[in-house]
Amino acid sequence: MKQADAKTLYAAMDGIGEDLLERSEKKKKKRINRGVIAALSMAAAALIAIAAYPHLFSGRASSADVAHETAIRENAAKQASADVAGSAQDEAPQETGGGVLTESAAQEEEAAEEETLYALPLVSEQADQEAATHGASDDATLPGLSCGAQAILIGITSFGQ
Amino acid sequence: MEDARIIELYFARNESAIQCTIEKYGAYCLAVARRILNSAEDAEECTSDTWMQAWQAIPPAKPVFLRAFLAKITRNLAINRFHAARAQKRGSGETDLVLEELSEVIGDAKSVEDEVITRELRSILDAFVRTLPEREGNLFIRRYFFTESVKEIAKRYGLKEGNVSVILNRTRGKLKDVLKDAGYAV
Repeated sequence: MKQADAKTLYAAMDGIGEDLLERSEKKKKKRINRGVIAALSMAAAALIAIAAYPHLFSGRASSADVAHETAIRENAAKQASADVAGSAQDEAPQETGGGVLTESAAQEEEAAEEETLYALPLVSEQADQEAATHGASDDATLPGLSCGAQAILIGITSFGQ
Repeated sequence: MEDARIIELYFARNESAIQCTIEKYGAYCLAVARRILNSAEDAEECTSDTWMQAWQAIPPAKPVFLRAFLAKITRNLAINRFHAARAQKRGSGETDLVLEELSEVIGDAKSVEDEVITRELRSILDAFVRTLPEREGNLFIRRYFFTESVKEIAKRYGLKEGNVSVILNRTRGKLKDVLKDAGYAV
């Protein structure tokens, strides 16, 4: 049996390789609590969602939506006006005989145009009606959730992955 | 300055190598010595010896990890100083002096055996630490090579003190088995 005391063992520790000594110098990085990571991820996802879809959170339509809606309304008005003009032209020869619109015909046309214009539902109203009738028509949307909430959900899901 | 550049200065026998070493690793080596000696004054003297010994060792030695190389020199010097200080306290009588004078004339059989055992233990310990998982190995080194307190180790690795003590205790148990297998009385 070989004999060695603690003093000898302690002195012999210098046999440990310099690479191992160097490795032991590295300090462990501080761990961040998982709950903190989850909360930070959710906050970041919410911020990204707000930045990406600000109009959904402000309660106002985006400029793109407004422009799109205006264009549709203008097109509808033009179409209605063309239809009225067409029908008036069809009827005019019988009434006037000269192919020229009379004053009363012009008033009728204007009234018809206004009626058509106000009879057209707004794009947003149309979308609401469609959503109410068919539920979620788009595959990318989730039924029963606002767009903002959906954006946050998508953001959180993507962060979770 | 890069370690490689400092070592080049040693090889060129340029004395600025020592100054560069002190600037880069002076505080580090002082901390290593202070943990063993528990005295700022003794630690200062010990590190002065470290620079001299490094100057004598490089070349031929060409350390890959200069910091660890200097830590080993400092530690050995500090341990020698520690034992010398204890011996001085223990025996301040003439007998110790006489024995010390005579030990220069004749070899000490026990010290030769100790030297053989120390050499064997060195290789056993190196192999043992290499078999340990990284965290356990690091904890073992910080405690038994660098003489760090459990509190310091816990702070360094972001662990609880109790956890460090448990890991060290388990590692000591493993070392005991290794030494028993190598034929040591434990």
